[in-house]
Amino acid sequence: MLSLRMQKNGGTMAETMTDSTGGSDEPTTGGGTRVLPFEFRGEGKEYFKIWIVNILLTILTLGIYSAWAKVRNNRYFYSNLYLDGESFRYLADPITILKSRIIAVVFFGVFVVASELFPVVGIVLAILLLAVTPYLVVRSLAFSNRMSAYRNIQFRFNASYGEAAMALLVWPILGALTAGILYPYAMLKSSQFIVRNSRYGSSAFDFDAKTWNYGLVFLIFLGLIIATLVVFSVVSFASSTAGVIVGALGYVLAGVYLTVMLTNVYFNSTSLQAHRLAANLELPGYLRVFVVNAILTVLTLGLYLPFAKVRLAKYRADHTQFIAAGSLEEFAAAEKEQVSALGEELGEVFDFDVGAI
Amino acid sequence: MIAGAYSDGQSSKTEPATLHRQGEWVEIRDSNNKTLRRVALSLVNITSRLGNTPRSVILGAASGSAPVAQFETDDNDAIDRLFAGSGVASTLLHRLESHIGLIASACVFTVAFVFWLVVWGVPHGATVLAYSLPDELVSRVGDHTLEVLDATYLEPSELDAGEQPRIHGVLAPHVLPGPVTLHFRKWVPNALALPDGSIVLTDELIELADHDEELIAIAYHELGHVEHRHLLRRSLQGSVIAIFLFLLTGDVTNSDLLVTAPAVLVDLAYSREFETEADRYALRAMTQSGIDPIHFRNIMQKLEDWYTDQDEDGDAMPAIFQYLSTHPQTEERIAVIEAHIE
Repeated sequence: MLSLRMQKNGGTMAETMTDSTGGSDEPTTGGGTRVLPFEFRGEGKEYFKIWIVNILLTILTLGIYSAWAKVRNNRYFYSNLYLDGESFRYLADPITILKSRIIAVVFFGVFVVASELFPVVGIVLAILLLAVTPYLVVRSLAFSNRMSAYRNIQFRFNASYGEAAMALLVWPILGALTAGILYPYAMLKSSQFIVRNSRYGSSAFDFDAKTWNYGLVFLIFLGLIIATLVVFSVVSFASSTAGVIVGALGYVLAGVYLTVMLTNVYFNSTSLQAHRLAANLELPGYLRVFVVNAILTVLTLGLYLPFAKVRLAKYRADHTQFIAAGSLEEFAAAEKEQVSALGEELGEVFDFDVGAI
Repeated sequence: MIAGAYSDGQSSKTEPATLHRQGEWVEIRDSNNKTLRRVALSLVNITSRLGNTPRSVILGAASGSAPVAQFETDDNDAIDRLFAGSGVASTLLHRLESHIGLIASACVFTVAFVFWLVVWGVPHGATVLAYSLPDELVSRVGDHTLEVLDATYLEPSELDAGEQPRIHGVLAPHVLPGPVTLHFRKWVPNALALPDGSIVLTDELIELADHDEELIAIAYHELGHVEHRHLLRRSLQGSVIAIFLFLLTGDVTNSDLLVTAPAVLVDLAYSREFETEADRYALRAMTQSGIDPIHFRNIMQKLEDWYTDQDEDGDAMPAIFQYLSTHPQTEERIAVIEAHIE
């Protein structure tokens, strides 16, 4: 299943502000709307120091510090993402994350050992896991949304198991079974499910993409893959090395295309009351960021990774906007709720990795 | 007095405000100097300093999700000064993260540690663990492999009726004490050892061999895998690497490929080491049984030729691909055998 991301580095709902005092040099679209760009103010140099100390302490504490590391990493990306002069906040408490991680690692260990020794148990567990996935995804999204705030108002996510099962299991499976024909529709259902069940405070988001938005992207993606295969076969006749290089590049290109288009569709279809989101990521620009990141990360044995994350976050923020139909000060907080971190941590261990982009 | 913004948590409205501290009390005043909130210091929570990000002063107990008023400011230094010594504003981690000497050491340490872990720590730990587990447990690992292979790649053998018992007779004295199970299949020239000690041979491999000793050499190589518990060790090593990566980067988002690729490359490197270990085992076993190691070399060369011929342009694998391979380059393996012969 395509993994999408929401509310993680680069933020979905954070924006940048062109001009915090408002006024005539703000681009407007008429009728009192303001286009507020997102802005990511983090710096690779600054983040690198946080990141490397996180790794050092995680190693020295045999992994215990990883919960604090996660909180600091997320806080860095949230708090450096600005919209209309305000930044986002990541609220999670490291102790909660630690408890959940311990449980999650134990689960993972049991799962691996059981599958190796008792293949039948392994299969049963895998099926159980599949059935439990919608529940875990919902818990995971609920937790990570609640741990996100803007202007001191928390986000929310609430969905029923049934709805989650349809959007996250049934439709994708149907998509796969129909040799991909229903897949764009399945992607639409997933995104709808996530966005429409998300709230900022007590205000719900809405999602108005059409199947064709996904269908077109999907078709072009398939086209790119097929073109890559064709070129790969042709070039391989001459030289298999060149063939593989061409194949790898084509694969990267197709993957980046998919990410860019899906991100744009996702944001452009999302609205919050009268306000809207917009995104205009571009293939060449994103490709450049991605390729430079990959090359430099490999050359530096991974030490470039934090710089890479910051560059990517900057690119995405630079190409995402919030189109405000009025003041952003009129949202009300949602009611009290209590959600455990367990869902999110289990979700991470089993790579549920849901969100948008 | 510190300048910032105040929000009450009930709505998304924020207003410019100033923060004042009077002993054990914290007070927030609006731009007209009117008091918005007054909270005891013991109920105030200040987020730890993180780079240049805004600092939040949370005014009241932050329970699960009840709206809580907060004051936010960009002036981290002022917050640190104002609350120094009160135990409320934590800067320990920030100081570690700003200490250049520590940063530099952390870089060196991390690279060295990861290198040590991958090259020595994980394989060594896995070996110790694998050998300390009871035999019965070890033989269960991967014991469904044959079923899976039968369902996917393998087809029933088409050897002549008499061949199977003959080969069984040839191999039996050389392999594990006790009855050995041989499975014959049709696929590509290849042989596998299953953890319970049984061996799978393919028709194509048998066809390729001109001498029974070549089959014995292959059998010994496969037994090397069993003897050294390679399947289990590879599983353990892979799992540890996976957990290590999860702990370090559990929240990595868009660089997924950059994180999983190294894990795959490491696994392949481990695999090549196991193959080398199995080769060494085979050479020792052949010498002990008085079988000429040249047969091992010969069958290996024939396998290499067979697989190379399958490649349309007949290229030997370009050098770079050796890092993507589960086995060491055949030339290397043959060189090792020839060195052993001398």
